Amino acid sequence: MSAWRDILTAALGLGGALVILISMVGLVRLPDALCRAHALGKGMTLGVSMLLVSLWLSLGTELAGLKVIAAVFFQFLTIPVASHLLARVVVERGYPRHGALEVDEDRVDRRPPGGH
Amino acid sequence: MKSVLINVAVAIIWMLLQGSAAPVVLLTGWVVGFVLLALFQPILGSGDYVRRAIGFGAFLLLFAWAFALSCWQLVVVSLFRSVRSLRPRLITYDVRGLTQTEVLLLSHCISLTPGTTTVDVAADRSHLLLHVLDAPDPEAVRLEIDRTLRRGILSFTR
Repeated sequence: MSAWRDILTAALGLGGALVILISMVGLVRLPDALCRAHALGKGMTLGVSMLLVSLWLSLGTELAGLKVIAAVFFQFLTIPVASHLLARVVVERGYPRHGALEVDEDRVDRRPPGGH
Repeated sequence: MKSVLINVAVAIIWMLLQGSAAPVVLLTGWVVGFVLLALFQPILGSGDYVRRAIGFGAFLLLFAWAFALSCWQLVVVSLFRSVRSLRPRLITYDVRGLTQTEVLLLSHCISLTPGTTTVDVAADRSHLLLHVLDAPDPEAVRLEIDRTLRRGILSFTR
């Protein structure tokens, strides 16, 4: 039982570190700040969460309790907000962008029938 | 609302009967209460709560799947795609007819699912401004959001 827990702990820890490494590679390779916000927002959320779960397994529930679940929950709550703010600053200040510059407008009316 | 209270009450009674305050026990009690509510919905009038709870569970699964996909896409894009083949662009997405809570949930989930990040909300809250990492076809991105996230969120908010 304990051996399996060790293997799972190691796998999650290494996996989390790998995901963060890949998102850093993305950070270096992607062309502009907006694309980099994608790599950060998703990669960090998953990577940090995996590291936290690995920590949880290695500490055991007696020590860590349910704090780790709360910590993972707050990762999911806060990191996307950070990447959203970053993207917002880039667009508001008109920093250089890669790709098509004009905004593609939504022409479909998505209001539910009989809605407000 | 009454159904939520019944569910909490059953969970607490279950915990008291088991004589242990472990979270797993409370969770089991919650599940037992939920099964009771689902079985006796014509009598208790809990159909709405059961429907929303199931919708929420289904949405969590869908979201987990979308998040896994988005991380896989991140790996592919960061390691293997050539940067010049990416077509990043800004698009708008119509959110008229959604309440503020729904728009908040939707924009948060959009930030975590494949290839899209929420940039801004229009001042009159009529649409969201999204940034898409690779959008050769912007309308397909909107349809995907319609099909998965929007439908999932609406299944438990109304």
